[in-house]
Parts: sequence; C-alpha cells; structure tokens
Amino acid sequence: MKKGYKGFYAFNDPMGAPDSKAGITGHFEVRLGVYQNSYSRNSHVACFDVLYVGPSRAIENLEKAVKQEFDWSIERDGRGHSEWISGWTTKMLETEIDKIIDGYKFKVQKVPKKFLPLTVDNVKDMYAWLEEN
Amino acid sequence: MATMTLVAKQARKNKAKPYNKKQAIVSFIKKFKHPFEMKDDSIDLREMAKNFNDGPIPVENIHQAIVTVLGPQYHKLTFNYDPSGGNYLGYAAGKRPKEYFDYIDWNQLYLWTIFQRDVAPNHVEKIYKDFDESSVIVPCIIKITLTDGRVVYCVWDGHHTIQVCRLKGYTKFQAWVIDLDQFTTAEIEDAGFGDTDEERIKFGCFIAGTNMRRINGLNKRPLAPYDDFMIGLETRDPKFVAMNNILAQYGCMPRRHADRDGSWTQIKSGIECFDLEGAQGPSVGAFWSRAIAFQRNHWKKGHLVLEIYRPMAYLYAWASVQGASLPATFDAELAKMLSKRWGDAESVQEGIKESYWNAVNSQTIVGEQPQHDKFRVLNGIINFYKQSGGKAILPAPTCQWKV
Repeated sequence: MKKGYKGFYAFNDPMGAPDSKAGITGHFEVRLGVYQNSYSRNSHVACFDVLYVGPSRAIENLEKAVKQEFDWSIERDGRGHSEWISGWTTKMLETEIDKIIDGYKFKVQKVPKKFLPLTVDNVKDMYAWLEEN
Repeated sequence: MATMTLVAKQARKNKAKPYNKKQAIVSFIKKFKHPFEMKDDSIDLREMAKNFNDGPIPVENIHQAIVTVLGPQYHKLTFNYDPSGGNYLGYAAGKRPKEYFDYIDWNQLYLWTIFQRDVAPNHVEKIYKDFDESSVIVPCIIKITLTDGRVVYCVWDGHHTIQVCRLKGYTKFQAWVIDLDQFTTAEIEDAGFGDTDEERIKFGCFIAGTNMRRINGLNKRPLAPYDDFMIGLETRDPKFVAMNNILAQYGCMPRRHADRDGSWTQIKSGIECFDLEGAQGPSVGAFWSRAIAFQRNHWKKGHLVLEIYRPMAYLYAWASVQGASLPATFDAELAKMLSKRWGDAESVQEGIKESYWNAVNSQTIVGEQPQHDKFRVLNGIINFYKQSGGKAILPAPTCQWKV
C-alpha cells in the first residue's frame, strides 16, 4: 500500500439485505481477512464493492462526512453495527459518495472497476495501479 | 445461502433483544414526521418543534425523548406526585408542607454565612442595570426557629437578586421556603443529626448548604454559546439577526454540532469575525461574510471550517487596514490553489498547520511565531499564496516558512 494512504470501502450485505457496510483501512488484506472470518470461501468471498483511496487525512475526513450524511440510516451503535448503513445498497451509496467527494473536494481517487470487487486475490494488482498513479 | 439466512433468523427469535441506544433513538424519532437530533448532551428542540408547527412542545414529549436517551433504567421511574400540598410525600395531615411559596418581609430576612457565599456589589450593580420585574427568579430561603425562639428566614440562593429588589424598592420578597419546623425528629435523625434544637438547626444548615452547592455548583449547566445565540436570534437581537442573515445567504445555519452541510458551530469565533474592524471602522460582518463566501463558493458541501473562515476574515481585515484591495478574482484563485494542494477545507487547514509545526520543529521558520491557530493559518495562507505564484498584493506575513 502506498505510504501515508488509506482506503474508504463499501460492500453489500453478503446475506442479501439491501444494506451496506462502509469503513476505512490502511491494511486491505487484514481487513478483508477479518470479514472472511465468518464465512467459508465456498459461501462467500469477502470483498469491497466500491473503493476510494487517498492520503490518510482525506480518507478519514471522507469517512466522517459519509457517516454524517447517513447518520439516520446507521440504525445501531456499538462494535460491528455502527458501520452498517440500512436501506442503501452499495450501488446506491456510490452515487451519493461521489456527490460528497465532489462537494467537499476530497483529494481521493476512485479505484477503477477492473479491480472491483476487491478481494485478497487482486489486492496486489490494485496496489501496483496505485503506485503508478 | 438461503439456509444460512433461515438459521440466522431463528436464532434471533429465541433471544430477547438487548437495548441499543442508537436503535432506541431511531425508533423514537420514527414517530415524528420531522426528524431531530437526540444526543446525551442535547436534544435538538428547535428541530423537534417543527413537529408542533414551530410552536410550544408538550413537555411530556420532551420527557419521553429524555428517557429514551437515558436508557431503560429510567423508563419506569415516573409515578404521580403532587407537591402542591395535596398528595405530598412525607406530609403529615394537619401540618404545613415542608416547602412552600410565600412572601417574606425585609426585616425577617437573614443571611447565614455557613451556607452562603460572600456578596459581590459589582454583581448586584450588574443585575440592577439589567433589571426587569418580570425576570426575578424566586429566591430560596430556609425558615429556622433559633434556640432563643426568634424565627429567621435565611437566604440560601438568590441573595444578590434580593439585594437588587431592595434597591428597586421592594419591601416584601417572593420566596420558595423550606420550613425546618415541619421536619419530623425521625427525618432529622435519619439524616444523622441528634434530637436537640441545636441539632435541628445544624440539620437546616446542612440542607441549605447542600442545596446551595447543588444549584450553584454541582448541577449548574452554563448557557452554551449556541443556546445564547439561538435565544438572542429568536428574540430578535439585531446583531444575531444580522449574523444569521449572512449565514443564510450562503446556505449556512447555526448548529450545536457540525452535523450537516452548512453547519456553523463556533459561535464566539463567528462573533469575533463579525466584529473585526477595517480601515473605515467596524466591519459589521463584511469580512466574515466574504470569508464564508470564500469557503462556500468553492467547497460546496460541508460545515463551515473555523480555521478557514476566521483566518480569511482576518486577511480581509488586515488588507483593509493596510489599504490593500483584494479583487474578487483573488478569492477564487486562492481557493483553487488550496484545494488543488490539500483537497477538502478541513484538510487545507490541517495541512497548513502541519507545515507550520514541521517548520517550527526543523527551525526553518523566520519571524515571530504566532501563539494562536488563526494567525498560524493566516500566515500559512499568505506564504502559500506567494510561494504558489499568486499575483495579488497581500499583507506581509508576520512569519515565514515553506508551506
């Protein structure tokens, strides 16, 4: 991962609810590993459906802005719950996040579709792209 | 996948749902058409009032909101208690209640220093100058029968108010009275005091002193700048109305927390910017208005960032005082430079401050080091603009570093 960079990710509920989980990390493999813990790879491969990368500060500020925007849709607090945005699929969420980034002028890059969904299998390809950009 | 879903749902059915504060709040809010923020330190009553045609809210609705935030341990506490003398807790039939409202003569009033603070004449004068009969808060008094049989009414809260009222000619004083004579011996003994007249008086002092500290210290909630501003605004304070008009012009509004687009939260700093003076005297918000426009015209979303609008207001003020004219194109040029370098407005001020501290730590800063963030960022903006090739003539920075 590029030094001083982090990623803001979102993914759909793998069980099929129309909800998304959003969060930030500087360690993609570790985070994907955590999300893989509850499932056999034969049922579901942990992934990020949308991903934005940028300097840590910009990504942290983006997370604050998104959590603020969707506060009413984050229906529970507490560990494991406070990142679930109810009633918003990742596709719906992506449009709103793009608007937020444009309005705030966050200095972040959207990871191209060819690396999505991001899994442990293609994370290194994404890193290589990021280093070049 | 379908099997997994069924199993998960069955497991949930068998368990009682644990309390979750956020979920309880969201569920409570859903009963209302217009949502409002509910946090430990504030329930947004102005937003809540929109559910009541922007008029008075029944306190029962607010009460339900409070116990929702406080949690289930408070849900079943409410019972019926009428303190007006009818259904009175601990009230013995045929006796007066222990507490009641009364009017007391001037010559019956005393101050016992055991449970009162010193008096401040300048505070008396301050209240006197702003006095209005309709704003007198009822002082609190304890009625004590001394061992020599004299009855004295000792003030334990509101002494300054009483002194001001006397200056205004009052001869009788409204008071909330605790009547020590109405306490039973058992009640006094339960509180750890003995069965003598002296012990009864000590018990009275204990009640008065404890209550005085409760009201003036332990449980005092100072008026937050946000509440002060909103009450001033809604009761038509001309300065706050002018400030609100400036905010509204740029889609901004005063808020307790920076929780929505356009939120302005730093009330005192906003007033400081509004009051800045230029070459022609008080700016009456002109520099503050331009500083808000600077942020909102370029960064369309987000709350107002203190260390963007405040240093910019100072920049315009400095320029005015020094006779420099900053063209409108300067604002757009500078904002573009800043966002190109750091992106969002928060990152801009954080980035400038970071560069300042890096220069301090590496001892590459020249000039006097500012003691306040507003001047660190202001100097950073001036340095950055010049280093980025900006053409407008800006006031000279008081210190220089490579931003």
